[in-house]
Amino acid sequence: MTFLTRLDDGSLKEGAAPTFALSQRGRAGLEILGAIQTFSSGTLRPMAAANFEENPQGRMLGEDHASPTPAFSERERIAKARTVCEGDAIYRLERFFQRYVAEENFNRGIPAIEERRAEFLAYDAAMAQGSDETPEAGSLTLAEDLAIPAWFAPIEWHLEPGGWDGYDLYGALFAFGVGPYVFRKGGYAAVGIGDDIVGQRLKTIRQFPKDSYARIYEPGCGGVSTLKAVHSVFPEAELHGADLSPLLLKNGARMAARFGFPVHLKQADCATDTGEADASFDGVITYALHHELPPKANRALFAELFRIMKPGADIVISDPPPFRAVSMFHAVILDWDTLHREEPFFSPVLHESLDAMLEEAGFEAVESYAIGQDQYPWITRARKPESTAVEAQA
Amino acid sequence: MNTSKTDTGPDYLGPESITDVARMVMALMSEVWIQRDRQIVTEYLLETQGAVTRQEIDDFVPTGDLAERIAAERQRFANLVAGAPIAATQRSVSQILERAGMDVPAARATGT
Ligand SMILES: C[S@@+](CC[C@H](N)C(=O)[O-])C[C@H]1O[C@@H](n2cnc3c(N)ncnc32)[C@H](O)[C@@H]1O
Repeated sequence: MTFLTRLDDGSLKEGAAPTFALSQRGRAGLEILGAIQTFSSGTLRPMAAANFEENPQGRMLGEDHASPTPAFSERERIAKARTVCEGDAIYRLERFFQRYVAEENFNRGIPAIEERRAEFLAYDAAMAQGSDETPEAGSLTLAEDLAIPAWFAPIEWHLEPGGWDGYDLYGALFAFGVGPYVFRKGGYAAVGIGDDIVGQRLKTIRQFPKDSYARIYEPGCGGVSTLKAVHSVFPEAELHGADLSPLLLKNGARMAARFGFPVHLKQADCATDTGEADASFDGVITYALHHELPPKANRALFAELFRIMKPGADIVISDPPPFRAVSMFHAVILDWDTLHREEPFFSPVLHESLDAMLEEAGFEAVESYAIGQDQYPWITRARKPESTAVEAQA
Repeated sequence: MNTSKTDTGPDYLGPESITDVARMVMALMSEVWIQRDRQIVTEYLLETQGAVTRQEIDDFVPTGDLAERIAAERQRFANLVAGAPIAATQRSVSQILERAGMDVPAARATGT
């Protein structure tokens, strides 16, 4: 699932003359993808859902899915429900459009930004001059010798050619093309039709239970869209983020400087070693991260986050909902991303419980709930105990 | 190649190519829309400034009312093309008017 990275270009607001924009062809070619996705998710998908409910086998599976003592395992149920769905021409058409738009975001988007490369670089340089991109404001630490995990390296996430770092203008492509023209309308992966992904981030940050935090950490921070939201809710907090992708981190550092909030960014494999000190953070936020890691790496990640959090510190997580929390039909829709939108760990993670993983890692007061349509965003939050058992004995 | 004979000659593509054909239709749909958008932009620039260069059309970004008008036209276009398969069965007056992006008059809607 892509949540990347639309740090809004304020100049694209209504009535204002943009300072950088795609050509007419580039813009219209992406805008029509947004319209196809809106029709697919907004019109065809509810029809497919109704067809599923009307199908006797579909209804039976839906009841089994909701039952506290289901006859079939979750994997069996989803496989059977998928077969029911695939028997419906409307479902197949809807999924075809989803796949088509996901491919074309890049097939159309890359040429659209490439033809404006010179203009973008000039715009970018002008923006840099006008802002205070000095290192005092924040920091960026890249680790050239970092071992990229074997499960991560070969994946072209969300059909993005070459992966997160596959093309130097991906940041611009999302900020000025796919972000405003396709993703802004919602209706892909777990994001509901019409959902506003900027608003969803803010709503997520407001799930932190305390009024103020001194130091907040985000593993998998990408291009800092979420840290920007954190800054607007907790302007006093010192912000730290880490990611595997150097391209996203470089873009993130530039954006943070431009938007005038200091962040400290580090290239790291957060599931192995964040490079942060023991008990050094008051809060941790993760956004759209766990479904991109194999379950085993998630367990290691939670242990590492537990280590760097202070006693009493809070963790707030937003990720797609587990299969158990959504309808049978919606489980098929979410499961589809695993194979069809290059998300190899989507289903393995959605079969699991982040709640259980957090408890295993030692967290307490673990709870999870939805704050939007179709159970998305799905919030999981927890606290590191004031005193751990080991310390209590000592 | 599946050369089974049909009334119109050999079946070159075969039924398994239906998705490829749909991709071709979608690519054409996008190309047609890009032209349609360009036409709206060109008409707008001609109306508002009397003459227009190719560069001005390339660089123009619609805002405000014009952007809204184009967005409505674009959604209607997408609904009609991508929704063509369901138009075979979803044929009540209100469904037809909705697909066309038009208001459904109360008198009509009750008759459906
Ligand atoms: C879907 S993006 C979300 C980015 C960001 N949290 C946001 O809200 O925009 C997931 C990010 O997690 C990063 N990531 C995945 N596994 C990681 C790991 N083991 N350590 C650090 N970052 C990781 C990816 O590089 C990617 O940038």
